[in-house]
Amino acid sequence: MSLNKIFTFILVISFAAPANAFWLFEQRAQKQMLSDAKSAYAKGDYHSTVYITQEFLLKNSGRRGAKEAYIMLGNAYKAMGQYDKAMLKYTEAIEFYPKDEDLTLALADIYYLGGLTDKAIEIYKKALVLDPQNGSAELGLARSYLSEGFFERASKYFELFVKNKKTVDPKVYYEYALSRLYANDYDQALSLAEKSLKYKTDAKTTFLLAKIYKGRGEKAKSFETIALALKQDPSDDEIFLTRALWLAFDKETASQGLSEAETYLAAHPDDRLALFIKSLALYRSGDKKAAFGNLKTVAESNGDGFINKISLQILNKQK
Amino acid sequence: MPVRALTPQQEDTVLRDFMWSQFISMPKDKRPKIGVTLSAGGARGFSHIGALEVLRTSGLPIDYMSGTSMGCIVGSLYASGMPQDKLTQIAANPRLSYISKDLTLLGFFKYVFGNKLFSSQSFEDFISEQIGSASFKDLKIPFACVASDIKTGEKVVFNQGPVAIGVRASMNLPGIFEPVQYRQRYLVDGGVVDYLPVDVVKDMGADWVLAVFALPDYSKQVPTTILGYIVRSGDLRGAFLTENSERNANFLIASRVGEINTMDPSQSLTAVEIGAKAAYKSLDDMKENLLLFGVDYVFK
Repeated sequence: MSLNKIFTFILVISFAAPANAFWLFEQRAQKQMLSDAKSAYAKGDYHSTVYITQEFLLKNSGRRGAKEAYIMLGNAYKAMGQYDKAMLKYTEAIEFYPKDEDLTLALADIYYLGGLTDKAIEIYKKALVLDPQNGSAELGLARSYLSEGFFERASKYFELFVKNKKTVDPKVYYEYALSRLYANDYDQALSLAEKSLKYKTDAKTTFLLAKIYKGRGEKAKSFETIALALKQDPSDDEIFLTRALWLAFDKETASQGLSEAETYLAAHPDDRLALFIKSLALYRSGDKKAAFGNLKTVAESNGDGFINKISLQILNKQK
Repeated sequence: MPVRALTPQQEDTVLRDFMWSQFISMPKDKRPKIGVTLSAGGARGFSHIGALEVLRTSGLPIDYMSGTSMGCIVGSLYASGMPQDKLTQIAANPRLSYISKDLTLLGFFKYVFGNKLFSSQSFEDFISEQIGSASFKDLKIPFACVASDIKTGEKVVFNQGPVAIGVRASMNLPGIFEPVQYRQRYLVDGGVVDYLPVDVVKDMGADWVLAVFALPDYSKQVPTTILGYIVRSGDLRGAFLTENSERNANFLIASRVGEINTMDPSQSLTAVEIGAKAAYKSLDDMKENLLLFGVDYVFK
């Protein structure tokens, strides 16, 4: 090699070295930023996470590490309850990574949490196109359809999720059972609620089971089960009043319903539902005069809800 | 003793859900008879499929059904016991060839220059393929549909005989399809005389009628073709007729499918979704309306 060539080589190396060193330094700094963002997120310091990831993305949008930064940024906004900002960030990220499953799911989840269920359904479906076996998308679709009132569609995706993921999550079985109950499929709802209770016993699921028995016409079991639900959570108004309503509706147990309604009224004297239950129990017990007196109180109480309307209607029909 | 008081809305829901479950489990002879009627509306009427999906899962017992034109197509298939998936599948693949084999370039040439209306025979065949050679008495839910006699201007109610020809007559748009000749009558679309046949389902014996209406919105589109003007004229007359029917129904579910063109089946699945959402949005109010109507039967 001639002396000239050696000199040129040394010259090139000496010029390139600082650039290389700078690039390596930059790489290390970016890595450090991501690591700092991660630890801030892990500590629950979401403001710092937002600050660091935004700084990172200013220089690195669409580059290595950007996806991770976008997810952290969106998640930090989500954790702070700022769903609109999280939506914006996930949407921005999807422009760079249109076929990324994690980002698609994150966007669908945030739409669901933000109450934009229509959009959530649309994005979950896109996630399923990217990966037809994606369990999170199946579950997301099931939950979205459940909240939209499409119980058959919800059931279809719960079924897929349960089958593919072989889950033991009692919450999933509870929701699946709920979708079957709302679709008036009491048999399947029963087996699913029992499965949920096998993994975890709670008042909410026991209450659901009681409603399923009621739907199946198994009177004794429904009363036994709702009593158990109330024992599991004696502070739950809905279970208490539902039980009182069931008791009041049945001629044989109307006096018990009356006593439950009166117990409730002692604590909440103006409660419309309890007053209605009392009227119903009195009516079923044969004391029509007292029943209509109570109904009049309900009909004339504040509000224009269903309880007021139905009380008024019953009174009008009696005239 | 409970400590967390329910909100008024939650209390209303507890009572409504309880009464609804009591109502839908009552024997047929102990509760009011329920009729559902489906409006005309061309491609907008695909929304009925979505509305019926929601009604089906709600447990609403349907004792009688009626329909005009697109409402007749969807209603007859539903009344035959067709599962929801199959109905949606039909909506997903709408083809003009299902209606008429003449909807070709040659057919249009003959229509414009030869004054020859299209034949809707293919549609009768399509219905027969779906439900066989069923007659009205074979349907799982008693069903009737409406056609118009173009010769006399009379309303013709189909509630007996073969279903397929009745459905064909009911959706046979005048000025586009040649009249269906049946028992000395020349039958065209029922929407000409009864766009939303509330009275038909009442005559069948319904005490309480739910009308499902594929709501048009004329402000969104101005027709640009001869066909468009013919269809629009029918729609305008239909809307005029509907005002009275709406008043006679006990409850109305209106699907806002105004942006969907009567003759454009490409948005059929969108219409299904809109119909389902409209029905779900109205579901609690519909239940309350029926429970208020049937309170005698629950509090006997």
